[in-house]
Amino acid sequence: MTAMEKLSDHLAKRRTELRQIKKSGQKIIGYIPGGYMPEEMVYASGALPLCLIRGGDPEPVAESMAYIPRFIDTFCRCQIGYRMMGEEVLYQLPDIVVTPIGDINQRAIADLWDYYTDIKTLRYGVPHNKREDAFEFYVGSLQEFKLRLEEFTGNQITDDKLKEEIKLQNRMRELLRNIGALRQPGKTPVISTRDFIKLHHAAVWADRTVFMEIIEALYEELKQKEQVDSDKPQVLLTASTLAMGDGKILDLMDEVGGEFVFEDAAEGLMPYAHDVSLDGDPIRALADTYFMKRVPPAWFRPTRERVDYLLDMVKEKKVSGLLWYQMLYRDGYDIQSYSFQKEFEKVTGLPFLKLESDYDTSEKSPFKTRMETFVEIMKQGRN
Amino acid sequence: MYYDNLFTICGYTEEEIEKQRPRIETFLERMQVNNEAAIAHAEKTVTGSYDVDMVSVQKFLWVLMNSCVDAVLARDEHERVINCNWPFPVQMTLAMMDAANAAGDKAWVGMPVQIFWMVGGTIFDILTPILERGELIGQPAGKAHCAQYQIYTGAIDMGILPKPDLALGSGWFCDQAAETEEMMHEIYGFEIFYLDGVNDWDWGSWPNLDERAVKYSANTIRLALERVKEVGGFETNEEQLKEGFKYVAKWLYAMQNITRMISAADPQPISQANVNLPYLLWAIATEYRTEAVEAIATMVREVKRKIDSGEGVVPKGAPRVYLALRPNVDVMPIRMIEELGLCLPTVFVDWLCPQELTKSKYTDMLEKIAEGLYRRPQLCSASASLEYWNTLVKDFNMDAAIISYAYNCRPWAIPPIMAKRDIQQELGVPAIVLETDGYDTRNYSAQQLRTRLESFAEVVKMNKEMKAAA
Repeated sequence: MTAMEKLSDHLAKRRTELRQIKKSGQKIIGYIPGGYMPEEMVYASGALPLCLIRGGDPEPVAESMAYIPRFIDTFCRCQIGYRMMGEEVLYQLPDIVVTPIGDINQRAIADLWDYYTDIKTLRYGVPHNKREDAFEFYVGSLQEFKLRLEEFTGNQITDDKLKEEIKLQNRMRELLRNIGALRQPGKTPVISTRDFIKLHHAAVWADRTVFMEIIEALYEELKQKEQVDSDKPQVLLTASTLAMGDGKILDLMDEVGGEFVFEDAAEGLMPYAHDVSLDGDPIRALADTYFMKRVPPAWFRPTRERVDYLLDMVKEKKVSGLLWYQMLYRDGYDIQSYSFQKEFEKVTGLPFLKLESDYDTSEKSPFKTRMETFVEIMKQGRN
Repeated sequence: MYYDNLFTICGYTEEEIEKQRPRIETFLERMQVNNEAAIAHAEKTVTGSYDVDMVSVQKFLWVLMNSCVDAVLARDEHERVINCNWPFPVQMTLAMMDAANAAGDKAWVGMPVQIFWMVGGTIFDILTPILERGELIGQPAGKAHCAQYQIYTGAIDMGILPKPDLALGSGWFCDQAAETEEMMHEIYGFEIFYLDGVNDWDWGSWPNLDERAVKYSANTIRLALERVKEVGGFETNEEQLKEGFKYVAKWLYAMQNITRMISAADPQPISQANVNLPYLLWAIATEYRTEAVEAIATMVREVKRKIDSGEGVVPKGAPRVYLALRPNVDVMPIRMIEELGLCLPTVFVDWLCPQELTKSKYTDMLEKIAEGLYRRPQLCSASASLEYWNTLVKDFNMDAAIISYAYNCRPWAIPPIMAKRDIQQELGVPAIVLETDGYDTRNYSAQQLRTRLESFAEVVKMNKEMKAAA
């Protein structure tokens, strides 16, 4: 059995395990994706973090219409749908939902859970810039979060415990970095974007010990894999959200003959580019990595850091085009795509394709047509 | 001249028109309304929207028109232009205006987009092509982008409003404002400095505000003032901030007066369409403060006279209905509701509820500003909005609520369905949710609104009659 098969096997049983964990009395801390909640802190409190990362299904979107007007980001809207429909076990498990508030779409998730469910949310603010006062505010948010977690779980989060957890999470980040780095420009990726994203999703709900064993083994497996030249147009994928279950564009890219070789997403990928320092105050160290070092989402202002990062990645990964994938009504991404596309095309001369999803089944065909054209343009560009 | 009558309707004297003629003509040209047809359309729009026979209405229109001329000509008449963009603290803008004036008036400070849509929408009715331009610049149609910022982008791109040297952007309440400004910075290159906020209030915590978040927002105001000093060449002092506070307090007091008088009267003495004008001036900073205060004082007197003489715009005893959003540039929905025989005792956020009026614990002026912003429920959180609406419906003894909301304002798009549920189930008052827009009249149709409101009005009237019979 390969490492990826082991992972699938583990995830297939994980919901049942999580139910048992909940029955055993261990607190389960749900949280929204976005990378502003350090999982280390939850583990150090003795609770279990569980990211609410499902998406891609039309039914929860339709369900959400009973609770909120449709002009909020699709992923954020459908989070209440998953809970209220009752079909997804993961959404029935949290004892509380942590929502770092970045933009209003994320705040909507918290508002919906607070109003329509008996599960309360624990909110803290994420500033929209990296000025010194903003960093200090985020540090304060994490300090407050720590106190509230301690109160909620009844367990003290000591610096030593926190550092232990940081070490483990650092190893996870390192492995994800190493695995990602095995993908070389011009070569068929040794791990597909679909599988790489699957690792990120698993990281936020799998059993951590099992998951670490699997990715240690996976890294060894992949290192042995022969690097084969690729004749497919290679594409950088940037997304507002890559939810667990939202595989439409990944499947379509296979169908139309292109391949993703690098992916960036504010929600759906855990920020793995930087480790957390083990020196000094662990809370400040967490804030430094989770807030200052990470590439910010499109709702940040100023937004230059993200734009420059994407342009650098395009150069570094030597891709033939960029696919911008966003949820419908995610304002920050929609607005940023306008000036970004202009600059991207001017700087790189490469094709840019923007796709917006409402997790609707009927999107598939138009997406396919547009992606076919996109791939054709890249092929012609290469010739 | 072909435009003299319009300016007379807007409260200008012949002497003022003569004196201002060169400025007026440049203004009309910049606004692309320097022709008889456009002016005739403006006259029809403004007289159809407001009761221009009311002296206060003329005075308000005068303040709006003058402020808009200044905003459009800001670059022609000043060395530097500093924009403060909604949602933005009015007190702070007023203080900066005074500071700029005290420093020799080389810099113009104002809230151009708001004053522009007020005049461009409610007087000239020219916003559609400007919105369409905005839609071409990163805010496409059908994606629920903020129409106010589409207008801002369109007006800057079309050269109606000047590009500023510095824009103080708002990121403390919503994201769209700051995101659009960031895009404009990338396209046009002018500098933006953002006020920031985190919107992390726990559900149900309002009006108790997290001190850390208030102080964070206040500090961004402090940093903004420092940047204004560097770019604008003037320093805003404590005294000017206090004066700004005093003006806003005066305005709030007068608005509460009007709200109380209208809501206590039976029949409703004036159309809420006219109250749009002081509401609009509440939301912007203007150089013409003396005239604005005079206008609102006049409105108070006129309302009193109408109450005393028993005049009304709806039948006596009409069902009392709360309308949750002021349609800013188009008062047609307000007129339509009143024509259907429903009384609008208060609209939108005109009323300050008791939770907002507790004494501030802050002594620092900037912290007071930040706290004041978040004390307004609609600028704070969805749960605060729900509490405001529930309190209002109870305290004003409303027979129904029209939860109209700007569908493209994300913070305001969260609570309407919750509000309908609360008001109907907890208060037993019929409520309807209406998708609408404060700036873009293309987003709703008069006929469609009428169809929905007519049937709602029938239900409300029937309920009231049945209650009375019981």
